[in-house]
Amino acid sequence: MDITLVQETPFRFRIERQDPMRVPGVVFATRELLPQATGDKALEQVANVAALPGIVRASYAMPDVHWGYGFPIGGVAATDIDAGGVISPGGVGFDISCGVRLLAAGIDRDPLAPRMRRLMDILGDTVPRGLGPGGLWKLSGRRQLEELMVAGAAYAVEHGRGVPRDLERCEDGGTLAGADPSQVGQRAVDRGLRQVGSLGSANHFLEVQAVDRVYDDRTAAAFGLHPGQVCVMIHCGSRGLGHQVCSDHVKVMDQSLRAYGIQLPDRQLACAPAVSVPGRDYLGAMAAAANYARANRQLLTEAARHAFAVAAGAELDLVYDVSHNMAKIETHDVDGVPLQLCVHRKGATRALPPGHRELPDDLAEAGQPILVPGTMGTASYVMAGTAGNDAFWSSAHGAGRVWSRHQALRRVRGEELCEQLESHGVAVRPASWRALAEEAPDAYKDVDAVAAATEAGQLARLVARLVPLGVVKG
Amino acid sequence: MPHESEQWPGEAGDRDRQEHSRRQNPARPDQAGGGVRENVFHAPRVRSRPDPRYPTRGAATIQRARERQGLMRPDAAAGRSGYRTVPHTADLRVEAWAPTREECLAQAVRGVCASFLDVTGAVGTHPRDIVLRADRDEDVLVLLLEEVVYRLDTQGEVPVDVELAPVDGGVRAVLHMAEAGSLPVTGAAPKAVTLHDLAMVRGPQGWTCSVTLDV
Repeated sequence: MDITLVQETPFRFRIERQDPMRVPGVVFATRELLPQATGDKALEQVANVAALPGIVRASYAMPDVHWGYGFPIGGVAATDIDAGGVISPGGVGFDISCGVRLLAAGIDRDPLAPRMRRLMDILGDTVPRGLGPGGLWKLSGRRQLEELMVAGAAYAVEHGRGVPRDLERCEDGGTLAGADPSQVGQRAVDRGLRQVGSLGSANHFLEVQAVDRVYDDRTAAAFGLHPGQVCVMIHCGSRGLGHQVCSDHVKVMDQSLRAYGIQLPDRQLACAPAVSVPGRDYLGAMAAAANYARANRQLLTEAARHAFAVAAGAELDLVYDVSHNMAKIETHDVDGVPLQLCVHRKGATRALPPGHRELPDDLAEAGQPILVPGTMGTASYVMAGTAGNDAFWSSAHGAGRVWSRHQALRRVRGEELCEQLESHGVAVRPASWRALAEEAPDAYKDVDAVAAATEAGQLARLVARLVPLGVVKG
Repeated sequence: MPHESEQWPGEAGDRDRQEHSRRQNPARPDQAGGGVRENVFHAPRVRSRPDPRYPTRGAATIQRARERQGLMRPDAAAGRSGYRTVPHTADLRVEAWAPTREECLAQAVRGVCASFLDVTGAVGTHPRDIVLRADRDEDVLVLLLEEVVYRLDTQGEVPVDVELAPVDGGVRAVLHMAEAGSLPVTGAAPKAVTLHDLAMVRGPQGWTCSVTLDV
């Protein structure tokens, strides 16, 4: 498909509708942030998503959009579930409810400095990461895992892994409703049993950061942040369990396409009407995997708290926990009509505006915190939801890759990168040099530009910029 | 699709990095004595039943020699087999080719494992004997690679040797497994096999396949 890209504003492009697209594509980006690499099919994927049955308004791409499989990473699509709108597991992603949580420490960067090495050593020794099994919580079997998949972070807190306030600062209170563990296959259970409380690998991390700059004092204060403050950012998801759930249900939907008369340009877009049996089965399994991811991040929070207590005598309070690989049934006005939509966010963060009923009272005025992790050598951003967002209240989820892992390995050596980071005051605890090189800062878009484009595109507004002090890499 | 930065297994830069990685990788706590290895790239041994339609003995010998010299190329693949990984932002894409379907599948397994672990000299300690059936050849490929991912996640083991034989509607695979934790990590581990741009076809030169994995 030839893509016709029209610039509507300096921060917004439109992909003209053509068959078989049902709606146009909309890309929130500057010209510099548009996918540039030869062979990058991200914009073609935005157009492919626009052909999904029941899609409304537009197929959206966030400023960090890059080439995925089926859906682009950084893609948002909403389907009208009362008009044959589909749910696509590929529109959620393999790592269901992969997300980010930010913790605010009761210590600033200067007093922490002399204790930083010990802190990083403890984190490096106690945070499970890398390939294979191994997590902080050994579950007794499928039955206990099912309880965890129903209640999510709340299950972890009920069992002493966290405090009740943590749940107030989690999307959905830490528990996504509608989980149906019976739709989670045995292989997914096998993979999930021994991985609760583990980072995994690739781009997942636990990072110690400091607030470098505050753009909005009032909102930052509502989030519990001030200049110089130390924070912890955790990025991980539902590990092998979520990946297996996605694989299993993609296969089911791939087999049922003909029955629903659905034709697709990419098998990874496999989907079914959200109200159909395979659609409902997937949504139940997806919610179960999402709750697993939230419990996973809750366990890692406890590991970080332990390390800070021992090394620095400091506590960690949860700022917020967001998912950026999810589908949710939400009500939105489309052309003045309230519709029940299945909103897919694949590499995109929900971004509720101020006053939204789902926000906790103490965040109602500020809007939902949006966490935009950058790279271990640059920065990350805390943003807040705004009322002007017309992408179904969605925003960017990170910097977005521009290099393949090949390119990163060709251009960067892990040892040199480690030395470089250490010389800039960033302590690194990698799982391997090669895995570190794959995640080199230059492999990503400029996160400052992504954050600026996100604000200029009226998706969210800037609250604070965070810089890395230490990184535990998966 | 242009592959402007293809990296061939065995290319000088890649080989340098693998050797460098073996010397320099920080040891994992569970990595017992895995750091000292001879300074030569050995691909995992792949056995598949010979197909009488293709002369394999001479070709296999030549291929091993070329592999050692980093000379393996698909355009020279008539009667030979191999694999390569190709660029894809955020993910892993593997292409494999071989005279027979089974050898092509085995090469894909080999390509996937070599993307994240240095299996040089590793010896399989226990076999996993499985039968995989699907309507389409590309779906057999998906099932086979999903088995690798599943075993890695649940048992912490990887195949370092593969035997494949055709069965009605699929393949029988014997995966000779080794502990993944004892091998140097060279990249992000695969976590799922996608259907995106999935292909497995037979052409005049033999079989080729391509598959994208989530890492």
